[in-house]
Amino acid sequence: MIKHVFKLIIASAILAACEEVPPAINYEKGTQTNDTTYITSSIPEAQPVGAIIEDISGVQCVNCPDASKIVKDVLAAFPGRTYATVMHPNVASLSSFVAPIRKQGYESKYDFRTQDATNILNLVGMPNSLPRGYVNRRLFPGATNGRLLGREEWYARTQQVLQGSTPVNIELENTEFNQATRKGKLKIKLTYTADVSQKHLLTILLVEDSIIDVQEYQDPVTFDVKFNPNYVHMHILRDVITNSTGDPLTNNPAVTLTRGRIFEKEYEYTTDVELPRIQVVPRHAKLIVIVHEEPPSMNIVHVKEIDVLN
Amino acid sequence: MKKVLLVICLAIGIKTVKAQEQKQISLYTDESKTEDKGQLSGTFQTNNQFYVKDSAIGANTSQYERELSSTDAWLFLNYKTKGFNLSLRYDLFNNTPLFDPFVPYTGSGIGFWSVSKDVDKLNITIGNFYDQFGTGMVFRSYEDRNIGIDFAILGGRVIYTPTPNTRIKAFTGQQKFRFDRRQSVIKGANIEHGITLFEKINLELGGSVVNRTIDQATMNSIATIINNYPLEKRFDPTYNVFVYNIYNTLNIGKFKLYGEYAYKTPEAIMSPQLIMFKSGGSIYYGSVSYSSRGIGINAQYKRIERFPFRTSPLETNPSPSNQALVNYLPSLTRQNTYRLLARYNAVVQELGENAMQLELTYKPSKKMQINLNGSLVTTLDGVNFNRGVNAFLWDTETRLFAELYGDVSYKINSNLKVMTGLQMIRYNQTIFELKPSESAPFVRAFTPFGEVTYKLNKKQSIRYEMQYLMTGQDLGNLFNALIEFNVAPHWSFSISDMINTKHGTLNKPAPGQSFKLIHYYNFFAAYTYKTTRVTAAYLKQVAGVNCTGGVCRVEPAFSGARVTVSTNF
Repeated sequence: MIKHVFKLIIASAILAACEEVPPAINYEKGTQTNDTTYITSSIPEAQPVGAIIEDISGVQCVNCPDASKIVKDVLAAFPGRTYATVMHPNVASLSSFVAPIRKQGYESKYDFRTQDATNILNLVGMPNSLPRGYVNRRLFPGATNGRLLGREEWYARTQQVLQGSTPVNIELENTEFNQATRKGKLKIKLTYTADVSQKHLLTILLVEDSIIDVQEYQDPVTFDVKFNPNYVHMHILRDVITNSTGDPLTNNPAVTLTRGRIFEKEYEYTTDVELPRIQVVPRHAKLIVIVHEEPPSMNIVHVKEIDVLN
Repeated sequence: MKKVLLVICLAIGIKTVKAQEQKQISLYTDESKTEDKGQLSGTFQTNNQFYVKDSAIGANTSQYERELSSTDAWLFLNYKTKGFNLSLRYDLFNNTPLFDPFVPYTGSGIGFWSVSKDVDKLNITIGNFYDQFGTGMVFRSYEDRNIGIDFAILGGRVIYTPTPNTRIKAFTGQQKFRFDRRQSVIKGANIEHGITLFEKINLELGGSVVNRTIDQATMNSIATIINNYPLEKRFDPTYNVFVYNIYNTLNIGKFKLYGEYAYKTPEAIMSPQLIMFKSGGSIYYGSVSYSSRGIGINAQYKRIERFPFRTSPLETNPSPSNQALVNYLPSLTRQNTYRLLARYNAVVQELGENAMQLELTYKPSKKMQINLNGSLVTTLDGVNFNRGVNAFLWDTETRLFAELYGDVSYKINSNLKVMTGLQMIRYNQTIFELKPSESAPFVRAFTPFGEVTYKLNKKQSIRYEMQYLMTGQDLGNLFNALIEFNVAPHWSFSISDMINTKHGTLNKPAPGQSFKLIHYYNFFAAYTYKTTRVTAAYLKQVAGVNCTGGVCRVEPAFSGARVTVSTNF
């Protein structure tokens, strides 16, 4: 009997001792500096829906440069309506893809991995290999891997999203970016042009273009794995200004998302995300504003982008 | 040459005989196989309700205007063959109010299936199963059709019995939800062992661990909700919660002592205001009983601190069938059967309560029996030994439920038996039925009751019962009387009526209107033939709480007919 009890205690202790990783809970003090809502009777015309490819990538992922090329093609095909961010998650299971390169002569200058990217992946879907991505975080009919899509699907899925509509207009105004303090304020106006029954969340991404750093790739001719020390990384996710899984548009249950509802919000942000590790170059930085549904649907209903320096 | 032929003939002969023997053996084996034809058994039950609207008693849910009738049915089949046990249950629900009295549900399909096999000292089950560890406070998978509960686990289970005194169980699976599953994964292990110390002293020890893991989609919803809270109320929810318990029954002659302690690791739990917070939990439970010729005493105490254990903290539906409970917290109050004595029940408060009960059964002679019972339920602050002499506190903040009960039954002769008694109740409607405190004050009820059973002859008997519930709160005074006529072994008839003789706080007449007498009558007939029983009733049932062992659901009033059939084969 004692032997059995001992085994049971040991087994349960082992189970309980395994420390789990909690979901993303935002403990940061809010950066929101203004928040008002009201109803308007003059309802504008609905904007065409925007699409965003969230490219999950890594500096040691040989096919990721090819995925970046596809992103570039999609953005070029649908200008003004498509946006992209490249997320490097800080996940142990993907560390062989995302960890900075430490090969002699090809050492990474930067570590692109962020906890924000990990939090988004934990919410929307974690890949087993890279590159993978989401298009508007949509769960497309017939999908075999949840919301995760292979790069070969990104063009068609983006096209599919752009054929839809959005119930909300996004207007952005980037004001008061102070080069000395490297802080700025983003004004967001959301206008609902149709009734919505689900709750919506707002996410603001800070992304950076034109970062030159080493990237692993596969030579298209010889199929050898090589390193490009002058690779230009685009759309790198550097920070999420809101909670990484989104801020609710309102905490007031009486405020419903009816036609004519307007939210005016202002967020303060900094390009010195995590000194000294992440200092974003303001002239290469952009803010992407996403309106999306709360879990479990999580679909992105609209997206817009604005440069940090107008 | 002849010798050679003789040897060949002998060899052929021997071979033929051997072949015949083998054939006989194989025939015998085949015969023995065909003898195991297996054993099929089963049960069937159906409940049918026909709704007749009666706004006077509040019987006006959607069933009275749209569906008009409902049917529930269960066909359970069990087949045993060659050491295997195969079970299958087909469930049918048409417009049933069983899962939510206000929202009819329709669906049918395989509600339960399992394959079980004994292999030496091991029993293996795959599919659905019901089980519990100890008293069920850390794990109980069970069915209670009366209130729509079916918490079967769909998964695998092994039970190992290395010695007659030792049993080890382990399982993993997901909780059934109608014809689907809850997404969380539950697993657990339990060990029980009996030890005889001396001739009249023995121990029955037990211990369990249960783990529940929340799925990613549910956790995403939990995280989103927490991120909406003010910063100071946010916390890290956990995917996993572990629940442990240890328990022991000590038998010393006529005394029995039971003790159990359960602990739950911190996780997100939902407050009554539907705000999540993170907390661990614990339960202390103990009982002492003494049983001797003519007397039985049982005293129990239980303290629950923040011990909700569900497949997800987001399961907040008030109907117990939808609450996805992984454990079962037993009630320490008397389980009454008479209609008005069972009107007020103490729903177990999983977030915190102190409950205690004392039962006494005394039989001074063969003709007489006396039952006494007292129970008390308070909030956590109702019992605090740090307060010294004021350890027990019963005030407007702490009081939840109290009952004093007593009955005396006396067998006057072989044909006539009488019973009478009293019940006093204190009941917190605001907590137990979530009624607003301004319209539902604390209930004080006093109920005398009695029963007379008279045997007319060997086959026929008449039973009469009455209760008179007196309270100034809730629906006021209610009187219930029933007369039952039994003709053994097939027939049983009864007529009863419950009337309100005085209004309470909830049914106070509007200004200028007089008090209306309402009848809640019930005409009932039952026919039993061998293992089959058919019942039919036309009744009006008052709105209230329907409980089974402390698990309760608030039910609206009912008006209409009920027909049930149950059988087993």
